[in-house]
Amino acid sequence: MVSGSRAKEPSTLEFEFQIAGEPLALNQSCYLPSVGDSVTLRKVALYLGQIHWTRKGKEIARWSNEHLLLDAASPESLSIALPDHLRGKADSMVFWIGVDSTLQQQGAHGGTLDPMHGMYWTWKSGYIHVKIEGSSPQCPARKNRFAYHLGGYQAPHNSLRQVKLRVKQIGNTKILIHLDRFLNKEALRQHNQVMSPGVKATQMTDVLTQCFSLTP
Amino acid sequence: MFFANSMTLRKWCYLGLVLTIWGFSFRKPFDGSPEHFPAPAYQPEWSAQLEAQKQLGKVLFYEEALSKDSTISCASCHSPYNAFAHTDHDLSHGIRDQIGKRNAPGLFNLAWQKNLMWDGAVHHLEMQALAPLTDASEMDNTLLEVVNRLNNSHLYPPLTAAAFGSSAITGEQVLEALAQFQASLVSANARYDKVKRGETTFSEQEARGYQVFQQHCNACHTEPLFTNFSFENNGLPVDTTLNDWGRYAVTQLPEDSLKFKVPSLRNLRYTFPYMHDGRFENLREVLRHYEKGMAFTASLSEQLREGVVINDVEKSDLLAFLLTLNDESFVFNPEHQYPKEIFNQSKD
Repeated sequence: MVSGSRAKEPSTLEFEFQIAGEPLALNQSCYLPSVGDSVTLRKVALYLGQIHWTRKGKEIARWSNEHLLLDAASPESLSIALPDHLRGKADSMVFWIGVDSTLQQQGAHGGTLDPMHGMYWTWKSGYIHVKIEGSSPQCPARKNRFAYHLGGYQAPHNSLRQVKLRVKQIGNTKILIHLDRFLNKEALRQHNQVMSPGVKATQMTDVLTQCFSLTP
Repeated sequence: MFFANSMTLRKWCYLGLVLTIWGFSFRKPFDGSPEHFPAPAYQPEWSAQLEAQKQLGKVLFYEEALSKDSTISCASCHSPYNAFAHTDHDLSHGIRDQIGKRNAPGLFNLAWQKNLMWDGAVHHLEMQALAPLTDASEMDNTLLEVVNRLNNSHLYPPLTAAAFGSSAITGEQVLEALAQFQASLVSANARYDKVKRGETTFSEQEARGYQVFQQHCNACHTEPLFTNFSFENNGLPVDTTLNDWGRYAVTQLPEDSLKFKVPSLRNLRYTFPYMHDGRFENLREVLRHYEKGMAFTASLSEQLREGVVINDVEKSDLLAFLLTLNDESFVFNPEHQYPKEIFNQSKD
């Protein structure tokens, strides 16, 4: 039943990767104060799951079983129209970085979780939750390249991490992901290749949880 | 209105009952789980399209476009005539004649395996194909590229439509179809199985060999699948040209160093050479290893700590028993072979 004559605007979720306060441009060199040098990012992709909203501490809405694959190379992956039932006031938006561990124990999945998106490990079954790859003169590895493939869903190296953001309503939200908080000189010098579940992957995912903010 | 009178309602009830029974009679997995086997670990949801999915999986299994330069298929290293192993190759070769680091194992009774690969790297049959597909020394491809090739072909859209309802294939469907074909590769018709079903009996020598087997081998190569799917160090010294530490690479646990999955002893006639790196040409060499070739390292299997002591007569008896595990009807099953009618049709 349509109660009014005015069609409802679709409620949206938007994400923007940022670097040094500007929208990220892949494959372009950019000076980063946290690194004290230039950085070029070639690949930035991450999974978000268990997206839900709370009000006064209680869950009021959930985007069931949807995992978003935010890929800096794919603008359509960063701007999402929410289903109609996801509307109304809320205090917080909550989501997890990574792919639900129950789903990881099962076989092949489709949609954003289709392994053809290249976010799956074959030497040890499991999704790569986060891929951040690029280069910087500060990185002493081959061709100055760094690669972070963060994941792992089994104890003791479960890297699934919750993020909670204060919001005013469900949807119509733009979320910034500040990559310069993730990239710093120490990481690029000492831990420039993290590509397996472990202590480093969980620590770096912890840092990533601090990189999200709402547009003011 | 439905069910306007009780007669119509009763008819609908009967119809429902008949359909339910009919449905259950088709719920057996694939070729049917053999009666003397335990419940399989992999059982896809039953669907009317399962046969078509299996068929699509078979075509994909023999499809060379899966490899980057379209030169090799799964069957290049897993030949149906060798129980889907790569006879005479200690290590298999991928595209551009690159040599891999492990022996291609036979593919049968995979639905009972909880972990795939020699080191258990893959935890689900549907995710297994990704490994050889993307490994740089095997097919060196990406699943996305495979999906694009299949969708741009003449051959696959109709096969996909029959299997999944829509003609555009996804990565998920490629993996599911391959898994369902491979899960259908059930080998349970060797002489041993016929004895278990009461259709025949062992010879005296085979019966003696069966006793030797039960005493010395069955703890790890457990009947009726002839593996307990555990990871064990069976005393093979590391090959320093490969430095393959097995399960350790997956778990990073020192106690897993040099552990590999216990392989099945079925179809040994077709799957030589043996071991994860194919270092033994024949079964006599394997027995010699257990007798006097083992390296007693820290992670050596509990079962082998005392060594394996059997005399020459027992060895011959054991080998006679192992011959009863060869399943010729599996190896020559036309259902599993290259689907030439489909590939030829696509060339017309």
